[in-house]
Amino acid sequence: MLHRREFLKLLGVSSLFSLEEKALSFNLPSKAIPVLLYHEIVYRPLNDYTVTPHQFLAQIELIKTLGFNTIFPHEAEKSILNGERAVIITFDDGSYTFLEYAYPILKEYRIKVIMNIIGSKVSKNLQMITWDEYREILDDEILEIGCHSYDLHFLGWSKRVTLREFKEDLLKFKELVWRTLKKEVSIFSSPFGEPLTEGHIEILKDLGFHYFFLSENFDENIAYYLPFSNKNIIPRININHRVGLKNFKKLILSPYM
Amino acid sequence: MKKLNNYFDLARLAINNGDYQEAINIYNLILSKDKKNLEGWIGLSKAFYKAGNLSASLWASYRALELSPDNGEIKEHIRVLEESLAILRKDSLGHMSKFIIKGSYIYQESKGKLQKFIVKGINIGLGLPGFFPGEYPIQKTTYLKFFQLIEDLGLNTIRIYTLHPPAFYEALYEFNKEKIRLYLIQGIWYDPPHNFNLEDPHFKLSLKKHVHNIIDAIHGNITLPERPGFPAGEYLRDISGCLLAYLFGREPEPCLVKNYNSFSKNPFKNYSGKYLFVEEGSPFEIWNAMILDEIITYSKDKYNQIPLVSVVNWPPLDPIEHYSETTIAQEAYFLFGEKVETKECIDNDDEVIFNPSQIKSYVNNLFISYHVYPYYPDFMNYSFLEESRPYYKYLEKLKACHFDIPLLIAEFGIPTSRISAHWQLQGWSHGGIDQVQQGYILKEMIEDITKAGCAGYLIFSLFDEWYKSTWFLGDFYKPRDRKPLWFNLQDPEENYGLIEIYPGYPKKIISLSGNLEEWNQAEILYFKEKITQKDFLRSLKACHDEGFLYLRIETFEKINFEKINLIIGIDTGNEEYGEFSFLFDIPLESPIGLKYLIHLAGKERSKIYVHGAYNKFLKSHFISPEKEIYPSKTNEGNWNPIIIKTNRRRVSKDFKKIYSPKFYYASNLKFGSLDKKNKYFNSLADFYFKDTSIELRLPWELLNFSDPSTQRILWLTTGTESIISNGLKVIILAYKPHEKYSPTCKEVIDFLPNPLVKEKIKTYIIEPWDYPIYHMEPKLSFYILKDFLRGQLDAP
Repeated sequence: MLHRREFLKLLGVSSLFSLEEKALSFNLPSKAIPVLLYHEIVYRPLNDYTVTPHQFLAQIELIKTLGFNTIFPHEAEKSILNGERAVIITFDDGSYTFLEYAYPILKEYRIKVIMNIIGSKVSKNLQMITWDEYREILDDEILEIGCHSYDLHFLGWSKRVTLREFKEDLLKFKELVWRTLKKEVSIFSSPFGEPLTEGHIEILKDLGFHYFFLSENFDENIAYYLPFSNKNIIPRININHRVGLKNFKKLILSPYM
Repeated sequence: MKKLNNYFDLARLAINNGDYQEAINIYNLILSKDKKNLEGWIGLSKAFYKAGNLSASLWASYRALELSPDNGEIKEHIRVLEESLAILRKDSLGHMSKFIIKGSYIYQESKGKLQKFIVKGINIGLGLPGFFPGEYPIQKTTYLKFFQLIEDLGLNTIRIYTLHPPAFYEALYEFNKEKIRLYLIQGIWYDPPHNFNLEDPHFKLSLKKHVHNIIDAIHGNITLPERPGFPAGEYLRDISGCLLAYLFGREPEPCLVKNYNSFSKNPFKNYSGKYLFVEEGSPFEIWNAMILDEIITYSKDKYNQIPLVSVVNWPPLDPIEHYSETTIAQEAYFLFGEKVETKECIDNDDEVIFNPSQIKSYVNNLFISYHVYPYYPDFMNYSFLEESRPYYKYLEKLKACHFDIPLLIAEFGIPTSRISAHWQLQGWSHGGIDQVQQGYILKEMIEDITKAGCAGYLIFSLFDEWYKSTWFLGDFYKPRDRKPLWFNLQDPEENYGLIEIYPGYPKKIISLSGNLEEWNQAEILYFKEKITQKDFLRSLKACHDEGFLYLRIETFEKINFEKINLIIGIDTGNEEYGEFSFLFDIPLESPIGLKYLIHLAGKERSKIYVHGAYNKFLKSHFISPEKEIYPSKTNEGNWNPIIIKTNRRRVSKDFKKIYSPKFYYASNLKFGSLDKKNKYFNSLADFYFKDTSIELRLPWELLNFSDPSTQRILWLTTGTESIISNGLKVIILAYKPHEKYSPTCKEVIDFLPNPLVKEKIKTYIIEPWDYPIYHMEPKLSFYILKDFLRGQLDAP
């Protein structure tokens, strides 16, 4: 089992900065890209996985007005070589609040976004986006679907589930998304950000997954995506309502300063 | 502030131009500032006289006489007026039209022959600026102008919703005296009683009386006393010769129909009246049949005329089953697990049917009328997602329900507002449409209506009406009763007209065309001489009218947005509140709290942002528990775009199909000019630039003014709805955008005021007003439609 710290070592990234509202300092390798992780956009109740609607809109305006391009992981290397300011925006879970608050502005600005969905929850729980709605918005060509497992969204899944069950879950997911959306999925976002073993990664690669998303809590050290050092493993920064706009700005600008 | 003399000049100009309605308004404004102004009263009397309103002219003359009791001229004018009023006689049109129903069309009987009559008409409202409809402000000569325009357009019919004052019938009589040029569909409006109890004896009695009054007025045979909310005066002109039909009712609320059907004491399932009958009808269908029967009976018995009759209906009550239209309660439970527990009835858009085809006539004088818009209810989209002509497909279905009887589309239209209130599949949305688009879309709608086999159409509507409000904006008009005093280009409901009613007389004060003269009266907020090479911003001017704040920025060098971008910060009042940081990585702080930020970066890339805490649409029409809307003190760059949720998430009746919510992005600033001769003409233009000049037009409501006529801005907190602004403040920054990371700032090069300190920031004060100044002008859509209706339209 590769623990979080080991992953960070693997990525060549270590202690960066905390996103609490205090002065920031960092020592960032060049050629890094910030990858943002969102879950829900709500006014209340607020928790570690929520941002408020006006915060989210303000963050998107910052991204836009600071001249950022939003990209998908496969565009990362090219973007760095072009010297662009780039950011990858991702959502986990598929909360309906994405459609209510995020999608209108993302669509207007043609901002690329990855939504990692839990296959078994779609169209079953209406707090989530439904297949009908995914079909509607996929036509806009700014959204890429990622896998957040078919049905492994529970704490400790990485220890409790066998590799065989893991593989079956992924196959079920891929088959479902192909059947309902006619999309091949190449992104895997680990449920609850749990670390992956080499066995997990091998299965993922076998099944055609190219990018593996992890998640870093905002109050821990920040890791950026380093496509030239490690193309497949992508650490993400969990954005929640405690991340003030000034720190958010520093967070996305850090690799470019 | 304009001096009284300027207003007198304006009023005289209006008289000379034949714009008597506008002249009356300007004189009223003068008198509101100086009630004892003799010249004002004389002018008002003259304007009323010219407008054909002799009794009002007489009243104004008496007021003038009170101020100058020995004035011979006034006395003489009073004498002439009294004589003229005394000799007014009854008269009727010399010709009588007869219409009957045959199959799916209306026919006109002429010299023993039947000729198909396709109704090509338009609806005429009542709400001129400064008035609610119940104040009946339109003067005779204004009606005559309207009629001439309608005839020029190529239409043959006008529809009014209710009884208008005698001036309307006088004007129609005069217009049709030689020959009938326009036919009339006379509406009979009613407001249902409390609790929708249509059996209320007092309501029934007053409705019957109301019906009789209207028929008597059509025959020039009634004098109505003054009553608040009703027209009054002597109806002396019998215009029944140009009456096409009586159109009873209004769009019935589904709950009205549902309640009446459930609780009606009316035991009949069948109704057999003198001229109409119903077999197996619902109580509401029978109730309508009875009223229509009363109209025919009274008209036949008293005036020997059997008129055509119809009743207003609309898609929420149509007899078609709409798969996508679940009830609100079912939907809330299914989508959010919320049980809607209320004793109040909730209007659903496909729960109740009112089928006017159940009503039949023994005398072939009944037709069906529907108001049909392409964007509402949601099923107008979701039932036709695969169709290229959804509007046509709906009409085709509707016609099939009423296949053996004429179907009149009694209202249809599309507004030229800055923002949209409902999404539509093919872009025929509830607003966000410019005047040229309006013209072509109306043309296509008429083609759809005709192709669907309808008996005709009535466009909604002739002119823009300032008092109206759209569902998501009405809550922000505080106080609501002052809304007729100011114009909101943002509001779809205000902007349906083919004639725009727009602030300023005799024309727009600012036309966004680079015309310097237009800015002569504007206030100079900042001005500087070029001292250093870096100086870029020369001056800022501001002015306003009943609809907009206008800004003009002048630069020392020709504007090139590739090299220099501008940021305008706007504080609408209470400068200690608002956001103090800019976007774009600007390394400065604002000395005052800003509520809005405008980024000017070229024709296609300019935007307006609102302070996140002041983003009223986000807090009011999305899923939000937040109730406070005011610009809190922040210093972090909390800037939001303006996004409007136009359609909520829906689910089909079988809960198998989900329809995503829809939105309208309103932050983009449109480049263009309001000068029709300018090649960049766009009726929705927000800004224009040329050489060293930039002009902006910002609707008050876009800036969260809740009533600019009293300087009120929205400030929704516990116990407060709005506050009086202590004045507007504007600052400007010019910066070089980064070569690689545009539009982010590389270097700030200039600002106004300079230095950018609180003490140097000027305050722009808006004088309150009680009488709005305006002018009327056909929109470009008018001319497009005219060419189409007269067969002269080239393909767009």
